[in-house]
Amino acid sequence: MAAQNKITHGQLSCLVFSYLSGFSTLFLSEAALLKQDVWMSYLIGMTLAIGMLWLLCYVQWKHPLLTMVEISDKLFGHWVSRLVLMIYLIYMLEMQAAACRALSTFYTTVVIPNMPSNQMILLIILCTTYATYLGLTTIVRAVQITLPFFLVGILIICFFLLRDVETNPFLPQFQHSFSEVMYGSLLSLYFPFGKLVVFGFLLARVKNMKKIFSSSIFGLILAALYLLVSAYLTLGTIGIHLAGTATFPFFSSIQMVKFGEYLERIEITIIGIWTIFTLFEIVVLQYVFTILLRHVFRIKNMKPFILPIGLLFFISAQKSFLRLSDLTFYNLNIAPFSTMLPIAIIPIMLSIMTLLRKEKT
Amino acid sequence: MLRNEKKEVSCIAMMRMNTVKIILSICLLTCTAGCSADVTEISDIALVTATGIDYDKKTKKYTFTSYCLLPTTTSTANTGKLSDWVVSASGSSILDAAKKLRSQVGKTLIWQHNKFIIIGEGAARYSFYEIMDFMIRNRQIRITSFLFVSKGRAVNLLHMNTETEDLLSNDLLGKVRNEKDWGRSISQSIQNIANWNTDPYRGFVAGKISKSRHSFKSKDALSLSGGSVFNHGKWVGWLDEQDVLVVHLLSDKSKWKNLTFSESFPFHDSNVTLHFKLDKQSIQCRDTDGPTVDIHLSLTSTVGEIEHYLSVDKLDTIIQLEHAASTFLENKIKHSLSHFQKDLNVDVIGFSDLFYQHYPKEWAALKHKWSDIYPTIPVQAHVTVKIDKLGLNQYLGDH
Repeated sequence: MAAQNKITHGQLSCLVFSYLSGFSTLFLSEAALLKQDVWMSYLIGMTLAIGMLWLLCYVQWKHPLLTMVEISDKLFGHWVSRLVLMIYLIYMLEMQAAACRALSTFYTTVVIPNMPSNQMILLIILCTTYATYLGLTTIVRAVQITLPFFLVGILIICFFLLRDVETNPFLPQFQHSFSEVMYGSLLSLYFPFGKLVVFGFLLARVKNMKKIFSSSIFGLILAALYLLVSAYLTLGTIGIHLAGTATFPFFSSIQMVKFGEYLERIEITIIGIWTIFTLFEIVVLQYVFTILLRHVFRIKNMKPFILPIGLLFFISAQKSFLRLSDLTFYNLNIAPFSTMLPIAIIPIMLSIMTLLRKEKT
Repeated sequence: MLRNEKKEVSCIAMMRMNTVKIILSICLLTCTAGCSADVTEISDIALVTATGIDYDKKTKKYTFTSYCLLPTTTSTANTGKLSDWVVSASGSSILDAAKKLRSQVGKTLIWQHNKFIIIGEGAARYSFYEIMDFMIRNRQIRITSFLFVSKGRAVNLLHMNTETEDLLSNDLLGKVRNEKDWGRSISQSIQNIANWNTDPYRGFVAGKISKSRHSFKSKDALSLSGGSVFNHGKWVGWLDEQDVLVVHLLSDKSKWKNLTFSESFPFHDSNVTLHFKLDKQSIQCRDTDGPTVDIHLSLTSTVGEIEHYLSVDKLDTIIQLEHAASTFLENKIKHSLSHFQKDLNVDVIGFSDLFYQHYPKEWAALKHKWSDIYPTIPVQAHVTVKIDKLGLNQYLGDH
């Protein structure tokens, strides 16, 4: 692979953080479910995601000259590998449809109620398709440019929200049953931490192969910290009862930020930053989707297919989750279980196969 | 020659690429805000800065009232002035009534700058759930707006002129701002109320707005004083000014950190008025031999006025005065808490939250009979007052 198409491990950290933090704080489903015990679900979800990431890195380290799709071919054989990659294609289609719908629902509920959702989704997909066309290095540079704005913006917001937190919202602890905490952990593993699995297909693009695990972990931990702080501030500022019923709880808490008496309504800046980061999430999904599709169908020149892939993304997002309750049902009842195959089972199988091959040789 | 041809071909390709980019950019321009049909000019909008909601139980009709401002004026006579007017409409639901306003106003009503929601007594008593649901569901109403319950109908209050001749919303904002200087009125945000409203164990105190008439004035004035008590999502009754002050003192820090208030009490055949400022507050619950609550308040104070001569320059007198002030405030707090516990039986301070947070196991047993236990909980109030300033003059003399 050409050196100029590779990314550094620092860029990988930035990309991981942006990808995971896109709209991870939009619904805060685990916080609504577990309230003050939400930190446990984040901790368990993050730990499981670290385990999954280590397995992927292990597989990559054992095959340093191959990409993950080639490793899959080598370990599973041609046809099984195709089947595995198809599972990931479906997973990414679902994830991008959920992301597009979440973003368009948020916009049409809060900001521009008269705009048709489809128009919103089309604009999102046009953006992400163009970014996919430009390639990974451009995407990563865009992330590096926007990330400081996000960090500064969110730090200011958090600082001002922290002043409104009067009592520790994570008290009393351990009030939920084991099964509730495990279900919450499953939710946080599915979204956002488990989404990291698609980075398995980008690990071969990192220059310093030794640092792929540590740099990914860095991004993952930062994203988990951001999620935890958001949940803490949300429960602390708008209260446990309101946080459990609000459609966009973190947004509701951000609405309370004001500088002095007159400078308020600054949430619009955060909406802008959220939007950009959600776009990055869809961009990464679309980019990896393109890589997998190229490999599955043995396409030599992928550029003519980028726009059709965008159209496929648009149609799948447009036809999915027409009501917010559909998306909620999918997020709470279907996806936490159905996505275990690409998030957990396949990485485990890959690592077992790698281990077995190693022992044979 | 070949090189020139290659250059020419690449130039043509570049030009084609640029043309495609320009065409794409022009296409994307149609998506920008300026090209949208869904545009509202500033001259077409009216800003709602205060909203009133009334409910008639007999007719089951809501009356929705908006106090509006025009951000721009078309009249040259009124240049530089903001023109305000009040408009009302009735309907079978709040939204129905709000939508009917459109038939009476030739402007697009914008609620994003609304700071005050005033609910009539009838609406607070009979349809508070629906009102709260409407407010937290609506994207235009900010959860930082203040909610007040009006004695009488809200529509009547919104039609009143202010004493300062200022805009009603500015006048109300000034009164909310003044809350920290006397502590006898309370302003609660919709966010707080929405959070507490669904709590089955605790109640809360929202603001109260009413007309007040002084003997030396011919017309009524708007007044924010006292509070309105809610429990289990329903309006329960009014709270007087003294009880509201105690609510401030025992609430979250945001309610008392800038609060200063004055109290007069008898001392050595004289009447002394002190300015108080709360420095530290601690409310601790225990559940050893039954649930108990300990309140510790630490206040600093400045001498405000003294009815007769008092030797406040002497340390003994100051210590005695501090002790008298502490006892006075302790009694005041006990009296108000007794009213909350025994007369109202509403946990307006949120003792239930404290038990839940710090004694979750005991709370699991307590919560089932909380309404029976709450009035009987012994509350110990310990107040420490320190007089650190005497004012510009120590005393006038002994005559």
